[in-house]
Order: sequence, then C-alpha cells, then structure tokens
Amino acid sequence: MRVIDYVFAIYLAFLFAALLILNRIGKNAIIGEVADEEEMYLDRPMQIEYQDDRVDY
Amino acid sequence: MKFECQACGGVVEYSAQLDKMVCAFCGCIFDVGEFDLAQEREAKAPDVVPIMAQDIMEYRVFSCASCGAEILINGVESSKFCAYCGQPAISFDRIAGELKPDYIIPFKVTKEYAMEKMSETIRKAKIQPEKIENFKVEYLRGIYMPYRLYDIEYYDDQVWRAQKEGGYMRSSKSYHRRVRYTFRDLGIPTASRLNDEISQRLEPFDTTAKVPFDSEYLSGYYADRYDKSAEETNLAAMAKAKELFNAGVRRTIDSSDPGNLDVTGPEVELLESSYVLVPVWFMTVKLDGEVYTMTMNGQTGKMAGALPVWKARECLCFAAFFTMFSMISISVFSCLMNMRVAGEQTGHMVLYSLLLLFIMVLTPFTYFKFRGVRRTYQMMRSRGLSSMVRER
Repeated sequence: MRVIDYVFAIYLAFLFAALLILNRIGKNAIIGEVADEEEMYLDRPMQIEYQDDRVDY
Repeated sequence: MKFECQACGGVVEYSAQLDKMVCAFCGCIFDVGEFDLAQEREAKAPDVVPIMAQDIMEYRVFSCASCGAEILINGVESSKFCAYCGQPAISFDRIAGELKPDYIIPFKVTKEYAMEKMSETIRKAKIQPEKIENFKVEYLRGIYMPYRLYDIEYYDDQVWRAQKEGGYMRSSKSYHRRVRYTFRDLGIPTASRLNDEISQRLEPFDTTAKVPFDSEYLSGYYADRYDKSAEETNLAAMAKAKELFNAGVRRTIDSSDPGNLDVTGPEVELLESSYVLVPVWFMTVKLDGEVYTMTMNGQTGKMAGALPVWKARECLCFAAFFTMFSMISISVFSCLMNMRVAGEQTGHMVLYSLLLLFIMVLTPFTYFKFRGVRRTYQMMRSRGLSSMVRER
C-alpha cells in the first residue's frame, strides 16, 4: 500500500466516525423534530386539471 | 391595565388548564370575555406614559394598575409582569388599534406541566451527571409569539423534464401538469427573535383551535408583537407556498426521477392573511454556569432545544469509532491494492475509483451535518434568545 492509500483509508474512517458522532449528538442532545411541512400543508389532494406524461427518444 | 376579580378585587389571570379566567387570590372563576375592556379603559386614565428617551432606548413606561410602580416595556412587548408586585400587566396601546391580533391560540399546557416535562427531559438526558445535579431553572416564561397565517391559492402549468443518456441512446421524459391548490393557514413567524429553526421545531400548531383575539388570554403571560413588515412576511409566505407546491406536484409524478422543473408560470393569489398569537413556553437553564434555552409548544407540549454534550464521552466514542473504522478501511484498501483480476492488477482500479467517489460524496454530507448541529447549538445558546426570556 502506498502512503496516499493510507491517507484515503484514514480519511474515510474519520468521515464515518464523525458522521456517527454527529448522529449521536443529534439524537441525544438536540430535542424536537423539525416539522414536516409537506405533511402539514399538503394534507388535501392537489387538484390536477391537466396531466400528460410522455417519453421521447 | 389588569383584570380585577369582581368578588375580591384581586388580579385575574387566564388558566390554561380550565380555559377560564381565575382569580389568583380568592380562586373565583370567570368566563373568558366576561370582562368589559372598553368600560375599564374609559374608567381609568391612560396608563401609557411615553418617556422622553423612548426614541433612543426603544422602551416605554406605563404604571402598574395594582401598585402604581413604573414598568418598562420594550418595542416588541405587549404584556408582562410588574417587577415590584408581580401582578400581570397588559399595555393597552400595543394590543389595540392596528397591532391588535385577529386570533389567538390560548395556552393549553400549564406552567407546572411545562416545568415538570422540561426538567424531566434534562434529568433523563445523556449529559454529564454533575451538570444535571447542578442544573438550575433560571426562568420559565409563557410568551405569546406573533404569527401570520395565510390562505393562498396557487395555480401553475408545469413541465418536468428528465433526460437520460446511455450509449448512443438519449431519451427524454416529460411530465406535464396543470395543478391548483389552496393553502390554508400557512404559518409564518413574524417576530425576528423567534427564528425559523426554532419555529420549525415547535410546529405544528393546531390552527383550528384558534379563537378570536381577546386580551383576557394575555393575563398571566407575556406577549410579543410582530416586528417583521407585511411585505417581508408576504414574500416569505409566497416562497414557502412555491416550495411546497412544487414538492406536491413532484409527488403526483409516478417516477423516482421526475427530472427538473423546466417550464413554470405560476399564478399566485393571496386570499386572506390574519395576525395570530401562538403560545410558547421558554425556559432558560443554567448548566454548570452556561445558559441554555429550551422551548415548548404551549398548545401541544412539543419541545425544542439543545442540551450540552458530554465532551469527554463523545471524544472517547469518536476515538473508538475512528480506530475501528480505520482498521476496516485500511483492510479494504489493502485488499483492493493486492487484488488481481485475470493476473493483472487493473481490476481493482474500478473499485478504488468508486471508493474515492464515495469519499467525495461523503465529505460534503458530513460537513453539512456538522453545520446543522452547530447552527442548532448556536441558536439555542444565542444571547438574543436567552435575553428575550431573562429580560422579562
């Protein structure tokens, strides 16, 4: 293995470890989910007046 | 101004538990709306006395109706408590006239429940035990925050186009939609101190429970008025409606990749807007000398906030994860380097490139995640937010 491969390998490990820790902090220390605005405001079906799906080659 | 008990003359406050006005002294219960504000106003001399320095300090002074002490209110407050006698007081000029809200969502969560739930959350949090032992609730304030609710009719004729290239073939898919949707009670916070991040974590508020505004609901609580202009909130509402509408249209397209929005020409009509006060509990907590602000939706009890991280434990976890992943990662890279495909050391290059691509995708993802967590912490520990609670 070359030195650059070690650098990549360790950097990848760092990214994974950082993501896991950030997820842990997000789960344990940050309280309150951000509200799903689509669920809140798009609670009724949209009124589709015209619809056309086509595939062109 | 205050609401006086008709039996003993004590101060009457709104009770979230009973949805009634309750005298703090004799316990008499009255219906909301029973107090005739107009008569009281006429009977008393105007209680707002502007001071000379109001333009500079952005504060106004009014006399407490209970003890006569002078109370300072800042530019965005409508109601507060007297610092001397502790009685609730409402500033008339802020709730009358053009600033009067159309609706109010009364508090449903009581102070006791809010205190208990917030304290319980801190006690159960996975933070440093010494910090929990020394935690001290500084202030717990029920504050009505201003929102503007919009009814917006949105119509658009859209074409979404996805292009795919594979070898010599180039296909194009288009999805044409003509859609209409009416947004009801689209909420936009209108106080700059309650930023979008906090309000998004506190939402949803059940707007069907809103009632026509009555100043009696303010008794016993604090209230802020809006400080964002109508133009600013109108633009925010339009932008929100556009984003939600596009997301909604995208959902009507039966494809995992509907492509990009190519043609659009929306027609947006603002049907109605109303000014509403929503209930929020704010609590500042001192944990080991540092001040954290927690908030709670005063209608549903949903909490939002950020607690301190147990740094030593998280560092230890990070070291453990890092060691474990390093070993796995070095093994994978080592295997790839030694891999032979048909006797040549070339096949591993494809996997190696994929791994590098993976790193390139993961790097911004981790960065944005880090930024999100940091922003939440900065917001919850911001001086502006805690001072909003502490100065009351």
